Amino acid sequence: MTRISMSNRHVFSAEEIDALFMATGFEANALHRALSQGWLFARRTQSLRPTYIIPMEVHETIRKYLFDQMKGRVVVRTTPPLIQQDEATCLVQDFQTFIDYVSNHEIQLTTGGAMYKRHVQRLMELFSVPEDLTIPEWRFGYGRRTHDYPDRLALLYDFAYDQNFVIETDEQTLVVSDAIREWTALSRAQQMQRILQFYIRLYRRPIPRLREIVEVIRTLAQEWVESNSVLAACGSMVSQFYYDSREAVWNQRILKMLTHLGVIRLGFDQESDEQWFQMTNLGQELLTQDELQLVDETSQSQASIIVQPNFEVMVTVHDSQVESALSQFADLLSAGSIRIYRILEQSVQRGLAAGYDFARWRATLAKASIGPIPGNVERTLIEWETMHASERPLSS
Amino acid sequence: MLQIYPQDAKFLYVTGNTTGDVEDGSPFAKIDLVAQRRQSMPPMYLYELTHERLWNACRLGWSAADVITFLREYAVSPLPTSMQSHICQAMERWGDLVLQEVNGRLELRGSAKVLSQIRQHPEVARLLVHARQQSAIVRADTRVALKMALAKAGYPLVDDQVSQVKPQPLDVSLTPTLQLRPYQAAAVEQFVAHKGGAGVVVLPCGAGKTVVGVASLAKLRCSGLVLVPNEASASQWLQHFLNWTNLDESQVGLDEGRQALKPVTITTYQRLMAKRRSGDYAHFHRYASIHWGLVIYDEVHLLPAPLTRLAAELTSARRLGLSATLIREDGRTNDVFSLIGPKVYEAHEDQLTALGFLSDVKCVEVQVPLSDEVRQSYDAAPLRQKYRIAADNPDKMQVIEALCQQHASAQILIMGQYTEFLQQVSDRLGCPMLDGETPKERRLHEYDRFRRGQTRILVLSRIANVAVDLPNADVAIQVSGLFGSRQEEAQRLGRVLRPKPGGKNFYSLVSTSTLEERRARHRQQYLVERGFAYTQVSAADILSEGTTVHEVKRVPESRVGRHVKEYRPVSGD
Repeated sequence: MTRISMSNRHVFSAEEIDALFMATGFEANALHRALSQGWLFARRTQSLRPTYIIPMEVHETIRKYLFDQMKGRVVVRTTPPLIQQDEATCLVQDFQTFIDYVSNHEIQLTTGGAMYKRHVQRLMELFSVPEDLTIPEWRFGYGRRTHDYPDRLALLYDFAYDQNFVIETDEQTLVVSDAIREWTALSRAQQMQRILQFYIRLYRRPIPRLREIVEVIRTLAQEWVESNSVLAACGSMVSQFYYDSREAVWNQRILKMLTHLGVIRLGFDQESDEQWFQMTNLGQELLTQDELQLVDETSQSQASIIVQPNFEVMVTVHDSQVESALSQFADLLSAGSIRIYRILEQSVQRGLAAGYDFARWRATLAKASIGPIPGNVERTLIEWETMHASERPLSS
Repeated sequence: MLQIYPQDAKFLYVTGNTTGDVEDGSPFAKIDLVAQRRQSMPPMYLYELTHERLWNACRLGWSAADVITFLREYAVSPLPTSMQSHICQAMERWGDLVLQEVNGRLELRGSAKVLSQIRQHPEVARLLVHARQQSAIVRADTRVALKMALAKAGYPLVDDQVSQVKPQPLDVSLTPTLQLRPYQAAAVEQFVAHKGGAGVVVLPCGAGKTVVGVASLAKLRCSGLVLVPNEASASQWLQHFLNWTNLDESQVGLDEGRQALKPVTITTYQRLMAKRRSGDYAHFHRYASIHWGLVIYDEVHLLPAPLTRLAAELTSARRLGLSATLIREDGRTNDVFSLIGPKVYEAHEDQLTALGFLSDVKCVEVQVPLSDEVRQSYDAAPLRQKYRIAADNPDKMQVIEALCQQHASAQILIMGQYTEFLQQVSDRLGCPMLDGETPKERRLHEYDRFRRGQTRILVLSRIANVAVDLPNADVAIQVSGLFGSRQEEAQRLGRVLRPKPGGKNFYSLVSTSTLEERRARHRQQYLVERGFAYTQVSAADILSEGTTVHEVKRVPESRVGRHVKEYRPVSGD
């Protein structure tokens, strides 16, 4: 009953109901009892199996009661903690970095099918949320490449692979496919939501009740809540998984990943070891709205870039299309809340050798730029173009 | 509106209308107190949260929570966790080590952990006598040395050495006709209000630092010692005191070494440092024996470390450091702050230019090719002579002449590195030349003539780098520069930064395709990144006349529409 009520939905198929009742260890006639008690109703459909419905009013009331009970056990604070870890949309930013990096580099894979360490290290330098590269010996269950990469990168990689954005070729190289075009057209929030859904799908195997846990978090953590008290309230929903203790599953697999996904923000104080967390507005939207409803503040304003006289290009309002275009002829220098690219002679040469259209690129730059492109940059770019365009037949 | 874009653990970009906010209290003024500006390329300004800046904030009474809350308030996206822990870690160290006077002896106190950590640094360890677990005795004469060694090792030391003795009051006030500019008033305000008593005010060259010093003394109404880098600026200070305060020559004067010190004494760092043959300081004790109300350190950024150390040993109720924008090729900016005091106020060039207090400067790099003959000897010369050959490119002479003709009515300063070539220039143009060997009297005399407009062109060797007030230079021509010293470039630019309608010109002559070109790029990068224009023209353009003006206009104005910029990345940047 708890699990039915926790769920967002109120219509269940017969298999789901069976599974739910079985998992909770009810005796065989539990379903009949629920039906006879009058809070669950069967409805015949065209197919032979019935669907089961819990009336909305009843559902809401039970739900409210259950959550109120849990809320009573959770420790809440009103002043925000000093140090806060809020990654907002960093995940999709770094995903973009990853895709651009793969597009512009020749990436050879090891016999095991993983990227060589030097690429991973370079990626970590460019990521706005870098990870420790030491990977424990025992790792499985959390995705296809968990044993090769740290958690966050593994999630991004598996997502890219799952969606066919990247392809591991027979020659053991990694390439970006055309499928990425559809992705770059999505808004940041829509992109975040897709990765979030992928996470729940992927991590549901080791954590079967992940969907419910996320729902509990969404409901309880409107304010800053103390992590251990929420874990206690979750009770048996969180359990250990082989090498991961219950606490590790909670901290590493759930809270940490939800932070990466921008759903919650973590908080700490200077003197104490207590960990706190709170839902973000982004998280609320990602979990409660469907893709078309997701309003994206960045889609209102056009991507805006600034071309500086020292050949740096700053992107202040993010846009995947502009960014992947930029990376054709410029190197990503740093990715914080501003992405900084630098145009160098080598990067222009590289872009020309790859066959990208430089004239069109310059036009894009001029269009997206706030204010004119500094004269020295403009002139030098033209100079480089004439210089290296003539070399192209030789190199190709 | 101030907007902060956190970038990573230490760096953040700042944007918004910075120019309107030179007065204190605005969020922009606050940014300068907790972070160091690294680049200024409007509309974006790059700041770094350095240890030194964060400790500065501690000294001004900020906590880590204050800094984080302040940044969070204006940040467009959440602060990276690494940035928050960087701030906390740096600021936690503040207060770990305290220097105290106990029974007439100096004692360094801290937790056992910190003390054992600092003992790992030999430079620190050798200054500690009687080291015990949680304290160590420090000899009084090594106090400053210890401070510097600790700062270098990354440990701030809480030591507000300001003595408790009340200084001699002095009846000094500003003449009512003197109107402080808003940023000057704000600087004085910030310094006087700062409880620690010691602080550094950072203003660009030509922004009137002397006035800030004079006004601070007038506000505190006490005796004062002013330390300046050379005689020329000493007499400039004296003039300022006589013109802008009620003091007369019996109360303020330059110290010549013999007569009794006046309530307000101006002296040079050299005199402070001067030693007798026996090795004792000749004058230091005279200055040290007096308990000054205020010691002013002019141009602190120029001081070599040992001098700063000695100067910091003077006792006074308050210390005021006046500094141009601090960049040191030796990277020892920290010394200034750890020895003199925290930065209490800073205004940047671009802000003051926009407000009309500094003139808009056009920077032009003139590319002078080497003649075939010189090219041959350049190619043949060993590496260490190449720079000199490029610097003394004889073809620069014609360009200098052409520029002087183009700016026929302007006052021109010609500056360079090697005196031999400068001498030729001065002979050719028939104008006076000053170098390190020129007697002081003649130097002052020439400055004076130039100031009055009696000489139109003046040639200066490296001495031009230090503080001299040459208010009327409209055009500066840099014939050659020190090996890529950005400090030098900033100083020289400062010569033409003083306000005057119609804008100014700063020409830098560089021999094409030589070592000099690469060095010049290094220096220019500094100016480009702080929002100055750099245009490149060839010598031929200058010689054929008129094209310079055309060239400058042709380059589109940058986003803020003030500066024209020209810069190319150095290979391997």
